[in-house]
Amino acid sequence: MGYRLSQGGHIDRNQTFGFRWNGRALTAFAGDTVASALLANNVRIVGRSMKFHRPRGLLSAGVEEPNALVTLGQGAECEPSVRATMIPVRNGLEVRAQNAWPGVRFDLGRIFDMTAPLWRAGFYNKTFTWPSWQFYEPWIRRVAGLAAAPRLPDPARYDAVNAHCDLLVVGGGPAGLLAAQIAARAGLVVLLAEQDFECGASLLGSAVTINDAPPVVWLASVLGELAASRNVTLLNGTTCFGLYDHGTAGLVQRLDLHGPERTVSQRYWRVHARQVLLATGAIEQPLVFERNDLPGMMLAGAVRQYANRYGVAAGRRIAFATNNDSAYLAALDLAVAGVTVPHIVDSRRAPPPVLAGALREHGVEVSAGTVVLRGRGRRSLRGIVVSTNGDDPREIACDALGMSGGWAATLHLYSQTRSALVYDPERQCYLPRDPRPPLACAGALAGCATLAQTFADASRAAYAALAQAGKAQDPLVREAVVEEPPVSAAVDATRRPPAGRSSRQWLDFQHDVTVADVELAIAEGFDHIELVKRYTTAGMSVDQGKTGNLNTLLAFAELTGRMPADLGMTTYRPPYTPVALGAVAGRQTGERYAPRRLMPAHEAHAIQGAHWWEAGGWMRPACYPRPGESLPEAVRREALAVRTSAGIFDASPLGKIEVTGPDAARFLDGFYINNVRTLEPGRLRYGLMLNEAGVVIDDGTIARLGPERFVVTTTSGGATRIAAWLEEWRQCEWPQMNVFVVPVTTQWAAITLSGPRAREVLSCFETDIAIDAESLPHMSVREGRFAGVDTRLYRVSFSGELGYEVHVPARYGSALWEALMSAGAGRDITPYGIETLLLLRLEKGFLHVGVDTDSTSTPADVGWGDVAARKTADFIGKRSLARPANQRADRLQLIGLTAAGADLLQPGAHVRFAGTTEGSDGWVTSAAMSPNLDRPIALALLRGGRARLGEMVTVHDLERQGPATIVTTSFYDPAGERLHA
Amino acid sequence: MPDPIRSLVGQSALPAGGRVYGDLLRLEVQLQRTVVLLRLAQDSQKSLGRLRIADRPVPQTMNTWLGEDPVYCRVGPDSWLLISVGHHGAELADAARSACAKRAGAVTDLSDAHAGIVVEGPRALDILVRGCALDFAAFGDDACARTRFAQLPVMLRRTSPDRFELLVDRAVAKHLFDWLQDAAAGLDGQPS
Repeated sequence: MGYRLSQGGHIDRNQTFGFRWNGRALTAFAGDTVASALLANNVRIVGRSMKFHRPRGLLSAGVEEPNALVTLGQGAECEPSVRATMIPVRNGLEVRAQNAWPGVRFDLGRIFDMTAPLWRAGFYNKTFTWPSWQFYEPWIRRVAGLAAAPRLPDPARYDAVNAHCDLLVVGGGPAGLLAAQIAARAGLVVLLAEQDFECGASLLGSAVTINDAPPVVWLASVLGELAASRNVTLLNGTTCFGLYDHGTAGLVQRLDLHGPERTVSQRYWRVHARQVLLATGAIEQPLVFERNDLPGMMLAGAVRQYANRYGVAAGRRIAFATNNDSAYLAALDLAVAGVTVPHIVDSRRAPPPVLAGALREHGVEVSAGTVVLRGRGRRSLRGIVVSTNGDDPREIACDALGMSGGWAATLHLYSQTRSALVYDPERQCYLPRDPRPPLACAGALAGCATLAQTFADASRAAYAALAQAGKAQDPLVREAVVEEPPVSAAVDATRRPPAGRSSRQWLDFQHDVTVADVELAIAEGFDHIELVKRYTTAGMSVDQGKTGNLNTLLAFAELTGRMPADLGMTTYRPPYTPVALGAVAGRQTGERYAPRRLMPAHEAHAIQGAHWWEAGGWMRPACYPRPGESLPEAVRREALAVRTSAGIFDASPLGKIEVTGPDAARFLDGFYINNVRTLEPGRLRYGLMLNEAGVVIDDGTIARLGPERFVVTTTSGGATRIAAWLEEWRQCEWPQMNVFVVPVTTQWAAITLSGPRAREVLSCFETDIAIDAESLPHMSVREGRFAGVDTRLYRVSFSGELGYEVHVPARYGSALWEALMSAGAGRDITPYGIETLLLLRLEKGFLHVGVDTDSTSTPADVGWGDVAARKTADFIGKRSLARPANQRADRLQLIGLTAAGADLLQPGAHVRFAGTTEGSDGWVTSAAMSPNLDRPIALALLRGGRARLGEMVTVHDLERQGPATIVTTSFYDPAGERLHA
Repeated sequence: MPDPIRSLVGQSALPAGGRVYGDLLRLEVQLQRTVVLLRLAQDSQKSLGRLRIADRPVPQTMNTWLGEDPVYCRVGPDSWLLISVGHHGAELADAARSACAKRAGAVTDLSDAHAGIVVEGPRALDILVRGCALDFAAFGDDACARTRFAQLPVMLRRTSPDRFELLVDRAVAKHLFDWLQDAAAGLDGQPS
């Protein structure tokens, strides 16, 4: 029966907030968390466990909370699986329990608990094998998990920021704050991140004195100084979730904890720190006994935190159970606060005399050599059954139990750096050993049990950081004088009673893992802690085993008779706590998800009604549908226009790379299967480029502008990649060559004119370039003035028609487009888009690398084997082409397909040869209904396809199938007469 | 073609003169500027101290810049960007070719491939750290660097404690400008 104490706590009792819990109106004070407010309002059941749907109450008061995962808000703003212990209450906050139906107090899912023997560790591996896992999976997916993710777009705004500092301090407790103060005074640039919405950590819940004053006085002084320091960034509500190499850290700052008024709800900090000090503290561990998960069972330190920080008693009658000294401090504070503390049971035979004496003075019975056998109660705790030195069990009535099984150093971030650990048998936990630079540890993380030890250790760590940074001066931080009860760090090995049902002794509260699961894992031969972890899933839930990993390890050690020091800890990985995907995405959402490249004539295309496609990172017109015209109709119209009159196409995204220098020809010769050195100035040649494995990676043209000047074109999507590829080879493999590579894709706008009347349109402009067929034959290039602008004029075609590409500096791109459109107005000129171009090239049978090739395609596979074989000079990939596997007759080869069915040929459709009944012999790579041939055509990769020209095959497209005929790849003008017109 | 010089991409989509956020921040788009890339082979960099282009020295220290107009930025071991408002691309490129005639290298006019965006004001750094991982405490007023900003490759130049110039591929200039405006919306100042 939790209730609000009449006094105490760091809450503002003059400021009352109203919030709703499962629709029920409750009140809280400013400074409360959702958890403390629920406890103050006597809400015992805050959630249901993930697997067995057991009722669960608050276990902790901090980041380690495994039970109180709640959903905040509603609709699009709903945020599931938030730890109630980390969220401050605010006016109007909507909080709901999750993973329960119809409600958290009565949950039909409890049936899983009643049938628990069926659902032991690894049950799905054994049970769902017949008829198949897929049979059960949909049902399991419906019932599994903790909460439902919102289906509406997230309206929150997220920010991301980079920061550099001399010292990143993770943890705003006493160790972190003192170290930050020392470092800041010495002039280091310090960034301190505290995951709680307030700094202070254990100081907020303890009753020690610092310099003869309550700890909040010291806290306020240090925080004030840090906040006023220009070289300090103090971040509350900020969790360091990942620590990476070279002092790089990922932090998420919550800016919406006190209300949604802020523009940005969360900020992702990428911190680059020269040194990192971890002051992440330690997490108290539960004791393990039968039904240790009943609502009302809490960590002793949490009971103390709720009383001292929030002025909330966890129950009317609170007992304590421990195997170390720290629970005595909690019991003492509660007793002093006037809460009934009937009993503290201590597994040790010799309890600490001073602390035990103090408790007895407050009427608390201290039972040494006593362990808890089990908890009593159905939906919440009513008492505990204990046994002293193996004597007959007796019952202690209580409605809350503060338990302490010792403290585990919060090693998660430390472990992420793969720094070494050492097992401390006195403290019964692993501690850091030899942190990897630039990492250092201080405070409870390093094993300090008292505040005095923590301050001394933090000072040591801070001065070490100063020395590392070359800051020798004394920052004049006065050593704090601490008065605190004498506490030993020693923890009794007794953590689990010798009796009790192991299937009801919980190790991992969040994943419902019990001692029986570990027993089963051992029985089934899992003899390593990493295997036990994976078999039982202990520590694999979203809390990363903060209150379960150590108990699982120690139970495993006990059950196998091995020493914990010999077992090692399981590996922690980022994130330390769950991170919203939105925070990682930052501004990269919606329109800003990825950069969109715009062509020089973008607005002109928009005015003409372009239907946009994103292709290779560029916004490109797919086609220009007229009013009332569908997209296929527009493509058909445009394709016919190109074949019969003139079409205009914006080819500006075409990759363009200038390669210059005395060795330019030799350099390019190394990249293409085609011979570059024999290319005459003024001519261009189609080229295929391979990787070292002989696989086609790109294609384009090679234009020789002069003896030492080339411009090569690449696919639009490959422009950056191929430029980097050329540069890498220039710098790393062929540094002796005198050659330079300069990407110039966006320097030049490129407008294509195609069709029988293309030359007619071009001739409307003043130019010093002769454009007649003889002077400018197919596959040639000229530099000159065109319409008063320096121009590179290409005679080249990807449509199969007479074609020209006019390349002008990009600033003239829009004007050139409009001028060509204007000149062509009387000549039936038609703008066409990329979809139309791809149809035209398919009719012609031109290769589309990446579409008609896959990651195994060689030149021979796509019909260019003869060219590659004829070239005597070496080129990248040549050696690989000689491999037997690349010369097999049954390789996937590009062929053409025709069919009678209008829409059977679809990209991705599979193809089988006659007589094949299983598997696939290939697939369709490109397909369309040809408007010029008036029949469906396709390109396909077929096993040994070129030897099967004329054969009938079966095409399978989803549920349909039908016949098709294998033909050559060139469907239209195979002799190329139109190109040379 | 009566008036060929019409527009660069996105120019009409970008606010003329950029945007001003009170006294806190100013974003300015600069489309008409000359950018020439000079590349010199390593073994052609002897006596670099004597190299002068258009009567001005080129910086020898990596990631620094020199000059007013034109400005010369050393952006790589073998790369310099020559930037100008008052000089035409062909003019500056010819000057570079002439100065480097006896050195192995390449001069390329890339004026049309780039757009400039100025980020200026007391909150300029707040914007820049949102898009760029550079340590600006170590990025002085004479610094320049090829880096990534908001996923994009850019050349960043600092001209004063509160003034930065971003040189970005023309095709993504609008994306970058939109990104900057979005980042600026998180500032306390309201757009004027």
